[in-house]
Amino acid sequence: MNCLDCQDLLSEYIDGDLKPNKRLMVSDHLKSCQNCSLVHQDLKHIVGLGQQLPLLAPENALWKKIEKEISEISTLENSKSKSSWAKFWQHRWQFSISAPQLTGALATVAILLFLASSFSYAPQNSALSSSMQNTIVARPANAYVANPTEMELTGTIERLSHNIKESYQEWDPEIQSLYDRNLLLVNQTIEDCNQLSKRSPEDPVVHELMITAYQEKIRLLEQFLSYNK
Amino acid sequence: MKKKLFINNSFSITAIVSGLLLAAFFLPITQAANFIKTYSRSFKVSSENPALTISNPSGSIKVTSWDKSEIKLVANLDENLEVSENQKGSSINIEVRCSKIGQANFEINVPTNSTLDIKSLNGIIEISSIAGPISVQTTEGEISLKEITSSNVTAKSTSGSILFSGKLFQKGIYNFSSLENTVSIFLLPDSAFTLSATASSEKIDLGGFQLLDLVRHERRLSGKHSGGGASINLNTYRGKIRLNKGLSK
Repeated sequence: MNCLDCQDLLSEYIDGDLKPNKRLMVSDHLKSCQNCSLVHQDLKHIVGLGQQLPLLAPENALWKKIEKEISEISTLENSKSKSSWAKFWQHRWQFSISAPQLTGALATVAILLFLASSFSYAPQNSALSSSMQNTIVARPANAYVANPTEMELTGTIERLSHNIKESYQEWDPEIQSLYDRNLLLVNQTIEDCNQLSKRSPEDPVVHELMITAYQEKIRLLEQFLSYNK
Repeated sequence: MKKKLFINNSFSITAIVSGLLLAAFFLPITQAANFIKTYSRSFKVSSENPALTISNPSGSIKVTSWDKSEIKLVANLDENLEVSENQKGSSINIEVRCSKIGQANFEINVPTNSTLDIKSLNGIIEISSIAGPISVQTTEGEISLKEITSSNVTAKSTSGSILFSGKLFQKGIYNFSSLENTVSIFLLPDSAFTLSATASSEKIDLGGFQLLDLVRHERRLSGKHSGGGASINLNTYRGKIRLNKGLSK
């Protein structure tokens, strides 16, 4: 933990609001850093002095003065917004509805939604042209369809890549170069596995190779994210 | 004329010699401008379940065992690096932080049964004589695991090579994966293991180990040696897989 991070957390540390692991990190840093230890003592002293100050309740005259100022401000705002457009926005409708009425209304809405969804999924024989009715959408025999595991992995890759993209520009150039080199290798591997999958979509070993390549990319992304947090 | 020539030559020689002496004097100073600092810490740990987690972006990490109930780290670090350390019981967590890339080279002594979790982006990792669980990950660094008597070892690298030499345990799990580089395994000739080796475009060299229940695929080979036992999973895509009889020194 560096001094900047430690001093940012000192206030919460004194109030006892830190989680145990952060509290331990701050405590360890204070033991070894004289500067931060001095800041901690000063802050603690100030908090202590603040707690010793007597509680004062404002006089009634002060509350009346505040109330008067608030009413003056609201009057001023009302006088400014006299246009019909402003009146439209400021107008408030008030409803009073009984429980049976509310239940009936909700039930009606639910029935209407159900009927609407039923009609939207019903076959519309009259709406379709004859050519469309006879169309069968077929998938080529050698097409590769990603299974749920691959989809989960690609989703994770997308999320991690997005996180890296946000911090990439701040990295040291050597780290960027290291990342780019190895990302290229991993992406090439994934591309090669994709080609293999297209040639042999039913091959379980090829499928495992693909999973391994995705997992390797996730490992790479997580490694670089952890070093640049 | 001759006197003038002599004076000119003398002056030139003197100037050259002076320049060389000045260069020799300042050169060490300029080299020392890249300051290096030393980090040295010892942590007392119990003899049961000591654990070390260390992440170091760049630089070498060498871990060897000793018979003390202590984890000792000594490192030479570039000036801009900071080491963050945390101890919870017998678990030590070390993290090297840097705003700018720099080298941190560690030499570490741990109890033999320590659990190790080591991560590096670019640096050699060498572990020897450890019996506890080992997990090592690098991006480009080479991984070397020697005289290992652990029952649970995982080593992964994107483009670094991996070398393992050690004794296998009956129900041990050993996973080694390098996308681009060679995975070399050194085992005793009578080791009992079940092997699954996947190498997409390169050969798998069994090093004389005769596998039973052999299953061959274009990119995978699996089988048992000496009745099976430990589970060994080897993966590479563009590298090679090599088994060797005998332990590496």
